[in-house]
Amino acid sequence: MELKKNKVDYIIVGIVILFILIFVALYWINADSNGSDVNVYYNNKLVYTMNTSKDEIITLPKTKYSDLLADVVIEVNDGKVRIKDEESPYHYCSTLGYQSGKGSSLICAPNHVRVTIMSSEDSGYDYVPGGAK
Amino acid sequence: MKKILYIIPVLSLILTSCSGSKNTYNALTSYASDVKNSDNELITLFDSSISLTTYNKLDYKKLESLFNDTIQYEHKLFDRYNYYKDGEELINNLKVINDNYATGKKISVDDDLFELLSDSIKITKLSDGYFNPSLGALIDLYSSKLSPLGLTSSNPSDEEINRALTCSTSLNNIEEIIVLDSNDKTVTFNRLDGCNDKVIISLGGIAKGYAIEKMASMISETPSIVDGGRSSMVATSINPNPSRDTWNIAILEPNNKEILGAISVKGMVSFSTSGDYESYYFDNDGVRHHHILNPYSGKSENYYRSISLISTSNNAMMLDALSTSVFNLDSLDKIEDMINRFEEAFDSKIEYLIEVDEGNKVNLIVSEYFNDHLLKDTINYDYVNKIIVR
Repeated sequence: MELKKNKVDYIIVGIVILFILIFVALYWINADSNGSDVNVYYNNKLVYTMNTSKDEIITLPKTKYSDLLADVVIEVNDGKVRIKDEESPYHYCSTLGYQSGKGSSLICAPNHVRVTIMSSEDSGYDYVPGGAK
Repeated sequence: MKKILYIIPVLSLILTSCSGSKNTYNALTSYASDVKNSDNELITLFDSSISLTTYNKLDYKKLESLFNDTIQYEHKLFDRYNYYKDGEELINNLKVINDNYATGKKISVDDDLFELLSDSIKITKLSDGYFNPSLGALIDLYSSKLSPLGLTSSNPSDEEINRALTCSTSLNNIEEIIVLDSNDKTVTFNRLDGCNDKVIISLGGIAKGYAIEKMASMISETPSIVDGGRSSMVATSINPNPSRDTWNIAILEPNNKEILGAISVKGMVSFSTSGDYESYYFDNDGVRHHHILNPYSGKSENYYRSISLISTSNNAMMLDALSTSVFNLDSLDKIEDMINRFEEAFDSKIEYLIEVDEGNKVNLIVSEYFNDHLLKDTINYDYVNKIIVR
């Protein structure tokens, strides 16, 4: 039996294709513009959330967080995160440099500060020595 | 009009399948909070960032405080630098024991501290003294030089090293110096002849493994990862990840600490890795020195870059101590001999992966099981020269 094609069939196929294209485009635009949350913890309590999609510099003041050795400055720049300025032996925490991997952390033990780039995606690894997942 | 209605299920199907393609995995991680010592100073637990990952909100809520309390408690017992109080009472922890070196006093300690000291002595004997819990004086010689940054520093003098070694116990006298009485759970820390300073017990190479093993034993039926922060972990139960039921554990290469591959194991698994890249310095001649000290020479050895051990049971403490011990052995045969001895003593199978330098890459020397469970498609040959199966 030969199926007849008419105008309505073409319209349906066209609409479906259009929806797929719109959905895929929205998905990617959304994924890019959302970036990843960057959670800042002091003594393992969440104290601030930044985002990799927005350049930002924040300061955790010693006056507020008494166990810091001095003010701690954290920077998001071009999707990457670093501890920009702090006081610790050898300035260990700022020497760690930038991190950009989802799930990775900057751990500044002398100041009891941890900065984690959050991710809900499965990296394929359940455990990475050193904390990045 | 009817045909238009067909669009609805078709679009639903497309949208459902597209949204499902983003593979979400809601691992929920809780970090143990730092504790205050008796002087009200905030202390980082085990000098690490210890975490528990669970895979649904109910488990997370249920276990968060148990995890925090357990890790904090174990830290307080095993910390050799700080005093802690339980209410107004000072806890008899490792610092208190060290304070009582050569006093002849019997110190009454908590079950966990007693057990860990007892296990440490057992492992000292089993490892022919390559694990040694009394190296505090030697460790203190190096501690200000070592860091994850690998800075340049001068070596301690041979005289300083020898003086520190005379203040560490040997295989023959450890039980006469650290006397454990199992009847009343007391420790007497006796004087060591020939030591002009103090013997200092340091459980750094084993305490964190004990703590995470203890935690994992309490939640063995719940899928979780208890992460010791840098080098050891226990995964419990079956991975509930919808895309796989195995635990995938990454292995790092030693130069840039990038992932060079992964091993995949189903069910309970303990993993420990010791590497010369964790905490190290370069001396004035550019020679690398790291935190894993040979109790016989008083220096670190550069036979291997990293040794990873895996066991399919809850054995984090033993693996922690064993990976440290075998790092000081100068041949693979000796490593395998020692692993065999530990397997027998702990009634547990232990597998290994050893990284050795080969040009600017590493060769991976692996036991057969480790090789069988390596995820071959994850091996990054930018870092790996070849895999040698023993």
